[in-house]
This record gives sequence, structure tokens and C-alpha cells, in this order.
Amino acid sequence: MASKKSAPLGAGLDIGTMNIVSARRQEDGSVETSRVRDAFLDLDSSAKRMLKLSGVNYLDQGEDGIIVVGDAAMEMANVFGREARRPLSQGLISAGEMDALDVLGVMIKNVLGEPATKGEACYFSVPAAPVDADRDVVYHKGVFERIVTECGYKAYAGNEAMAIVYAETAKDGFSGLGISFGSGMCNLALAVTGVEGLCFSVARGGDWIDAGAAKATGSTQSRMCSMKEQGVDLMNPQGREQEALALYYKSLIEYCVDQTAREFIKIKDRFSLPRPIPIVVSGGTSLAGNFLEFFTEVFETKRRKFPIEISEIRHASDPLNAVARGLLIQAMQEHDED
Amino acid sequence: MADHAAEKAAKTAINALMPAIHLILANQQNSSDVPSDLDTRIEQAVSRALGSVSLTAPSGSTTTPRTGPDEPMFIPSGIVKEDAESLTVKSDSAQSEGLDDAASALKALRKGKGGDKT
Repeated sequence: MASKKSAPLGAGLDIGTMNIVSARRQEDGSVETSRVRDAFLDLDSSAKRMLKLSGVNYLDQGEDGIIVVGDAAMEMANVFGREARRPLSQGLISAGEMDALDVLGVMIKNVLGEPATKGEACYFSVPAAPVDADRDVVYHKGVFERIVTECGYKAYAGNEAMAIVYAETAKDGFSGLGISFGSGMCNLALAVTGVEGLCFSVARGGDWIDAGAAKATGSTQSRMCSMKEQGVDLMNPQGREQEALALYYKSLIEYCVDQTAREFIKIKDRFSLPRPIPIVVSGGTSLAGNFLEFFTEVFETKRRKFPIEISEIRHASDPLNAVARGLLIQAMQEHDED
Repeated sequence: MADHAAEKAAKTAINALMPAIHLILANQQNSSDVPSDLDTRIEQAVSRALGSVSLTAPSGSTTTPRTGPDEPMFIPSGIVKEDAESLTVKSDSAQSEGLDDAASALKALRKGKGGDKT
């Protein structure tokens, strides 16, 4: 939690179901990204000794035991044969998850560090409301606004997919369709010259792929997740499990493309697209092998009926950090205007 | 139409209730007792007043109850502790390729739009 006294001001914070990532400028002009796994594991107090020996940090909850947070929670979950808990479900925190609030407070304080000045601007990511689930983002936004403020920053909410547009489409005049393929959900935003025309999310993502493929093959969701993270070539899947993963990837991409078409048709009379725009795909779920080629292949089957003219399809330059970088760009604007 | 009928019925009901109200006030001035059949008297007066009026919901309305003001949203304070434990955080540093250009372009875009923020 080092103070960054002379670094340029502003911070971006991407709060995802799988990871929490911050991005900040450094004195030398580089961008530092910090990441912690968005997971925790509650254990009995008797595990303290072992954790101390292993050098694992934990939150002492007194009589309620201890909580291991972050990447260590995933490792300890394997050791104890348990499933790590996630503070967020399908991209959003649920009201009543009081345990999760404390854990999120610790994780975000560690990832963000101290502000360089009191009230330094921090843009944090908020998903758009899902079009296929009865959930809103009001509570989620309120919780993270509170946490970021309590960390000493001036908190600004920024749409997750719009952050990709800001990070990746400057050369296109901030025009494009940004898609964040996350773990809990997929977020999509369409912008023209930086003006947001369409923003929505779908309550399907990497977890949905894992669950579906696991059910189809009689495997477990964690095994599917692990297989995915070890690397699956979507253009050349090997064996039934990888084939199942590829099938669910295809279904997710088709679903996102179809939902985009459906949502765009609702606004097309109020929003003009003067020229073809790029699609930029990002997010942890887009890290599967040959994802871009696979996405393009699926999209081409739908291009004829797709109501938006697409100039190209490309991957974000840094898919895991693109949202945090886009939020950082917005945070820097706040201080430029001082 | 229905609103007008309802208003008329309400005025009639109030007029019909006035004797009962006067009686209550008179009793309160003389004694603290309230007539034991007050409820019945009020009920009868309202029934008489509204008896000839039929009130129906306008067509097109739904039976969904209207919600009042948004429910309060509780977000506890003190989520972030001053002495929060230190965690192992993975950090990477990379060149800010495109970031400065993007920030400058966004600034220029916003200035061009008169400082309008999206």
C-alpha cells in the first residue's frame, strides 16, 4: 500500500466477479496494474497456525473463525477440499451479503492503495443492468461508491463496456462496440464519437460456459474452469470436454450478437452511425485460445442480418486490464480539468 | 368522469357525516365519552352517501399497486477499516502505449463538445 506521491493523479478500478484490478500511472509514465482474485474462504480458527507457517494473510474474525482472501483463498480451497466463496455473483453484489462487504473493503483498499492526494479521482466499473435477468445495479453501485470513498478517493462510477471503448478506440474517434466477456456476465456498449448509444449486459459469462459444459459432460464446473484457464483452442478443441466448452462459447457469442441486434433495433431511429465501427472484445473469458478467430467465425454467420455495419473485429491490447485502463483514462480527465 | 362522480360522492358523504361529527364534538366538550355506536353511524352515513354512485376503474388501468417512493437502500458505513490487513497483490507495470494518446483525444473530444461529459 505504498503512497504514490508524485505519480500523475487518477485511478481506475475494475470490479469483476473473478478479479479486482486497479490501474494507475507511474512517475516514469508507465501504467501499473494491481490485481487480486475476487474470492474468499472462511475457515475455523484452528487453521491459523498452518496459515502463519505458510505465510498466508487472513482476516481474524474472532470467535467466527478466519477468512482467507484473494488468490490465497483459491489455493487454500484446494488444500481443504472446499469451494472458495465469491463476493459477487453474476457480476453484482447482492444485498444482505454482509460478509462479502468486509472482504471487498480489504481487497479494494489493498488494490487501490492510498490516494496520492485527498479526493484523488477513482473511476470504478459498474455493469449495465442485464436485459435477461431481473436485477438492477443500484445497490452494487452504492456499495462500491461507499468503499472507494472510504479509501479516500473521490468515487465516480463508469460503465464497464464503455471503459473498453475509451481504452481501445481512440484511433476510431471513440466509436465502436465494446464487449467485455467477463466471468459473471457480458457487458456491451456501443458508442459514436464518445457518446454512449447503447449499454446493456447479459447474465451469462465464463461461469455460464463452465456450468453448461460441466452439465453436458458429467464433469464439474471447477474442472471446466481449470481446463479453460490452462488453455483451450476454440478452433481445434480436443476431446469431449473441450468440444463442450467450444459449443458453449459459440452459444454465448451468438447470444451476445443477437441481443445486441435486438437492443440496437430499439434505438436505431434515435441514433445514427455515420460509418462502420469496430467491435473490440475483451475480458478474461476472451483469453481462450483463438477466441478472436472463433468470435469472427461466429459473427460472420450473423453479419448479413446484423443491423450495425462493422469495420473490423479486434481483441483489446490487454484484455485483462482494458477496463481498468479505460477507467484510468476517464479519471485522468478529472484532474486535467482542475 | 369517474373523478367527478367520486368528488361529488365524497362531498355528499362529508355533509352526511357532519351531524355525527357535531355530536362527537359536543360530547367531547361535555364529557370524554364517545358514542358506542359511532363506527356504525359513520358506516351507515357513508353507505347512504355512496349508495347511488358506482365507481369503476378507468379502462386500461392495471391492478398493479403503485409503489410509493423508492425503498430506502441500506449501505453500512465503515466497510473499509483503517487497519485493514495487507494482502498479496499481483502488480505489473507496462508501458502506457496508447494511454496518453487516448487521454489527449478524449480531452480534445470533450472540449470540442463544450466540456460535455458522457
